This record gives sequence, C-alpha cells and structure tokens, in this order.
Amino acid sequence: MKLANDILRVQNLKKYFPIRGGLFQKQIGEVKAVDDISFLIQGGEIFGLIGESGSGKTTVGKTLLGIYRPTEGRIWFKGKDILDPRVNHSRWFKSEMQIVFQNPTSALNPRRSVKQILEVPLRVHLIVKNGNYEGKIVELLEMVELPAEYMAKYPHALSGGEKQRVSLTRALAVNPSFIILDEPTSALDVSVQGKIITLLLKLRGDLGLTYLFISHDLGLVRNVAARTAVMYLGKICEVARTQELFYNPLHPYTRMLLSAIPVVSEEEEKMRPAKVEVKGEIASPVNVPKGCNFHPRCNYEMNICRKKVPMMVEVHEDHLVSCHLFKGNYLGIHRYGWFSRSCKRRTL
Amino acid sequence: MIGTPLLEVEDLYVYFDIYEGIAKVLNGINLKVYEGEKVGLVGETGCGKSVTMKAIMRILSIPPACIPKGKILFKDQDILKMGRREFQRIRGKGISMIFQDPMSSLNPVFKVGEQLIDVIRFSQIAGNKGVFRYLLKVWDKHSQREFRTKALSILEEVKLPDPERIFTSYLVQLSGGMMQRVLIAMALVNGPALLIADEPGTALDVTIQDEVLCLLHGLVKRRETSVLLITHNMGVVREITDRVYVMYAGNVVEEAQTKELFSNPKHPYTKGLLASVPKLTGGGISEGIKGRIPSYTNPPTGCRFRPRCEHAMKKCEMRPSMVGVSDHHRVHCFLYNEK
Repeated sequence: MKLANDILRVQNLKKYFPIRGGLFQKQIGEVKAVDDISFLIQGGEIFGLIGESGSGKTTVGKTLLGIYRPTEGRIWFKGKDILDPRVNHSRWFKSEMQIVFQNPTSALNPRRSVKQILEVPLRVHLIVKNGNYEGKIVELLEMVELPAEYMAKYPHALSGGEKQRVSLTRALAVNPSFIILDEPTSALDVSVQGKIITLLLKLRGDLGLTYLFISHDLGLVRNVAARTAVMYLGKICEVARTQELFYNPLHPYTRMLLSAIPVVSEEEEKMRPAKVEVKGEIASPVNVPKGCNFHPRCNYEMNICRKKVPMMVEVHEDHLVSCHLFKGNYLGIHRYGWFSRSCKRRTL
Repeated sequence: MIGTPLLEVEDLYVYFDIYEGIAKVLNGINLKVYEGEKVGLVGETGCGKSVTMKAIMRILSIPPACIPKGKILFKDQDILKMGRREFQRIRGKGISMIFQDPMSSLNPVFKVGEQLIDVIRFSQIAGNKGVFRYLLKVWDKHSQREFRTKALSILEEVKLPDPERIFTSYLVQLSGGMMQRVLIAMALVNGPALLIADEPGTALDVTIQDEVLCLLHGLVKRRETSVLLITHNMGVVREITDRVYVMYAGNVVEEAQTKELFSNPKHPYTKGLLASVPKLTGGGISEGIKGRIPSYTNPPTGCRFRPRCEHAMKKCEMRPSMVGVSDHHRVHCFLYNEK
C-alpha cells in the first residue's frame, strides 16, 4: 500500500463528552464516544465504517469535519493538521470536506426552496462570482439527475430519494474531494437505495471523490466499500479489505454481527458464519468494560481479556484485528510516528 | 397449508378522504392465515401494510378512513360487522399485536408491571358492561396477586434478566431490546390465537434484532400461535415465515411459500425488490426499480405497477387477476397463465 496517496490520516483519535451534574455543574463522568482509533484513507477510496448504534460511527464523522473538537489525537487531511484553527476555519478545508447526513428530511430547511438551499454554499464559497446562481444550480442538479424544475420546489414536495439527492448536491456544490456519507440510504427503501448508491459511485468516478461510508447495513458496505473498519464501543476492532473481512471475519464481534444479518439467498447463507449466540447488549459508553471492551459479550473470553486492552495486530496482509486470540505483527501505530520517518511501514 | 383459516381477509378496500380527494389505498386485498402458520406481509413504505394491519385490529380512525367493501373473518366471524364490545373480547385474547416502536407504544409514566397487569385485567373484564363489569372489577382486587405471578412468569418467559426488577422499573430504565421483549410479553400474556407483529426489531440493532426474532420464533412455536409478520425487510421474512404475501400500492401482487418465493420470484416487482437488496456475497448494487410508488388519489388504471414495469403491455390497463402458477404460488400479473 502506497502511503503517498493517502488523503486522511487519523491517529489515536479520542472524543469524550463530559457529563456534568451537581450544584456547580462539576464533571462527574464522561461518555467515551470515540476511544483511541487510528486509520488511514487513501485518495479515491471508499472506506466503510460499520457498527451498531452507539458505537461512535457518527461521532468519528463529525470529529473529522471539525464539528466536534477531539479530546485527544491528531487528524491530517491532505498533509495538513486540521486541528489547527487556521486550517479548520479556512474556506479551503470547508470546501474540501463535506458531509451528507442520514436523514434528508431534517437536513434540509423546510422553509427554503431547493434553489435557496443550493445558493448558500455557492455564495459563501465564492464559487459563482457573476451572480448567475441559476446556471450553476441547473448544472449541479443535472449532475444528480434531477430536472431543472426542481429548483422552485420545497423539501416537502420531494420524495425521500429526491431529498437525499438535493442533500448530496449541496455537498457537491463546493467541489469537495472528500465526502463523509453518514448512513446516506438508511431512511430510504431498498428499491430507491440502489439508485442513490449507483449515483454516488458514478460521481466518484467522474469527480475523483473519496468517501467515508458510515453505515450499519453490512450488505450495503460489502458492495460499496473497498476497505472496511468495524467499530464497537468507540474502538475499531477489525479492519480489512471488504472481501477479506466478509469471507474471513476474525474478530468475535465481526462474526457475531455477520451471523446475525437476515439474508435473502442460499449462497449468502452459506458464506455467513455459523450462528453465534448473542450475549447481552452493547455496554454503555459511560461505563466501558475494563480490558477488551467486548469481553462481556464474547464467547471466547479469556482471563487476559478482562485485564488488558488488546492491541491492533496485522494477522494477514492488510487485515488488522484487535483481539487477544490472534497473534500478528504489531505495527506500532499507537505509539510511533508511523506517518513521519517510518513511512515504509504498512499501516492501517 | 394445513387446517382451517384462522384469519381471512376477503377483497378488502380501504379509502381515505383527504384534502386532495379520495385516496384509494387498499385495492382488494385477499389474505389468509391458517392455524399455527407464520405468514409474512412485505412491501415498501406506503404500500398499505400498516393500513391492512389497522383494519384487522380495528384501529383505523373512521373517518377519514372508510371501508366500502370487504370482509375480515376471524374464526368465521366478520370483525367489521361486530359491535365494539364484542370485538373487545377478541382483541387481546384472540388477536394481539406487537407495535413497531417500543419506545412510543409503552407509557413512560407507568411502571412496566402496572402496564402488564392492566393488559391482563382488561382482558378479563373486556366485553362486559354495567353491574357485571363493576363486580368483575371488585373481584379483581382479590386476584391482584394472581395477576402479578402471571406477569412475572411471562417476563421470565421472554428471557428478561431479573423479572422482579423489570416489573418495578420505568421505561427509561430499560434498553431497546428489553423494551421490545416487554412488548412481546404484553402481546402474548393473554395467549392469543393470532399475533400481528408490525416490524418487530426494526428499531433495534442487527444483533439485538436477531436475538429478539429468535425469541419470538421460539415462543410462537411452543404456543402454536399463528403470526402475521408485517415488515419491509426481506431477510427477516425469509428467516421466520412459512408463507409470504408481497404488497405493492394496495394490492397483493404475489403469494407463495417462502422458499419458493425467494428462489423463484415471478412478479416483476418482487424480482426487482429482491434484486435491489444488497447481497453479502457482493456482485454490486442493482439500480433498483425505476419510478416511484403512484399517488393513491389518482392511481393508474388496471395493474398499479404498470408505469414502472418493463413488461407493461396494452392488456395491463385492465385489472389482472391472481393467477396460480404452481401449488400455493399465485401472481397478480398478465405475464403468467393458469397452470
């Protein structure tokens, strides 16, 4: 894997939300939404991020965008440290990285027409200088396969799929190179989902975009992402090429997740791992279990799991697992500056 | 298909009087649930699944809804012609249901136990009136302890850890999976003959959904309850049911045994729907079905799938009938001939 081509590097990212209480609003605890994760996304890649609700997927997305300031850790985007306010507040960064939200109904202002919604980014980012917003908007709508008449419509007059297209257009208006897709189709029906995904893939080819694809639908990620990371309680427990991850899941949590998906054909049933008994529910991120955070639900629980947080080790090429069951090369990404001198080292 | 039909919906039409005109939502639905059978009703958002369910449970608000035609027979009695009190005897004991969102279908200001006991107590006095109802209510005070043991045993049956604690907790103290279990307990506590499950587990994560569905599967098997499972998730239907009805725009477009439907779908809509489910084995994402669900106030004549269908013919402007292509496999389409 070449490192020259990477667009986003995340190192030891943590985001804790304080819980305040008592007379003087003292901090009495914290929600560990994202707890020490590192990954790297290459230019032009679709990187999938899967996990159950409450695992911190969306917090990762929002932290990358700079909506949340991380508690700890560093993020580099195109070689620039985005935690630096000069980068974070710059027009360049805001136009380079965009997000498409999960629920298009709440992401679009119901009082504004499609034209008004799309005008704002064009004006703020000085993309249209001569005041001919309409021309540009028609061009943008054409890109997402919506007719020009839609300019005058209000969000309530659009169907779910069309709203999501408008939401996507708003993101595309500023010519980004990296888009965070936060469950872009979870509010849509399957027959509409296909069209949106095909559109996203086509746009990626045409405009050379990179996607971070956040989803809880494993079947969808399987078909879209090149590499996939599985998150559990704020930590990444397994990262691999998508094909590898689905045919050879290693982490007990990934197996549990895969075995629980309801499938629609016999071929899928064959490739799905044998039914794993689901134990308990996801722990609260306020009270993360000690050691490996998955151990209370794990069927292979050992003594060490209760004491020591497992390290991310490379078991096969490009297949990293954070579990005491597996032995592999420790790549040292948590401690060492893998991004600087030791660039030759293969990383996440 | 064994035994006698427990529930029979015959040629059911439901219209809604709305601002834009009359929305002709259900357009002649026929379905049957036999004793001990698990039946699925699948379709996308807005295809009329929930309206069907509400019509069966008699919780449609009339007006704006009206039922111009059709019969719903439960144990050979027409539910639609029954009086309110008469139906109350069936609701809960005969037919009960699990709602989609546990968070909004349980009351947050009462304890779980109180709500559960209410369900048990109401089923005892339902259908009675006047002095008799009053006497039953007074008598209830003495059987309070009996209700409690019954409630605790059902909580245990749905595998809730520490039923005593759950019994005295409020909704906010439970997780999503636990709430769903409480709902299942509530639906099954009076031992219904038919259970209608409206998207159970849709609000939950995959792992918890799997657990809840397994539990439900086991419980209904043991109690020999018939199930009508209403969902948009094709995978869930395949895992649980014996027979499936596929709905599109207020019509049942295909019915078949589950295995048959998934291996050999016939109707163009079913084919498109199955193809657009992303597969774990890969192979890319299909484009889905072109167009969108028609407006109900002005639906296309004849086959309602016609504007989106790639096989649409002249003939499709007339209404197709259900054609039996093989045993228990019937399609609402002109492409096939009676076998």
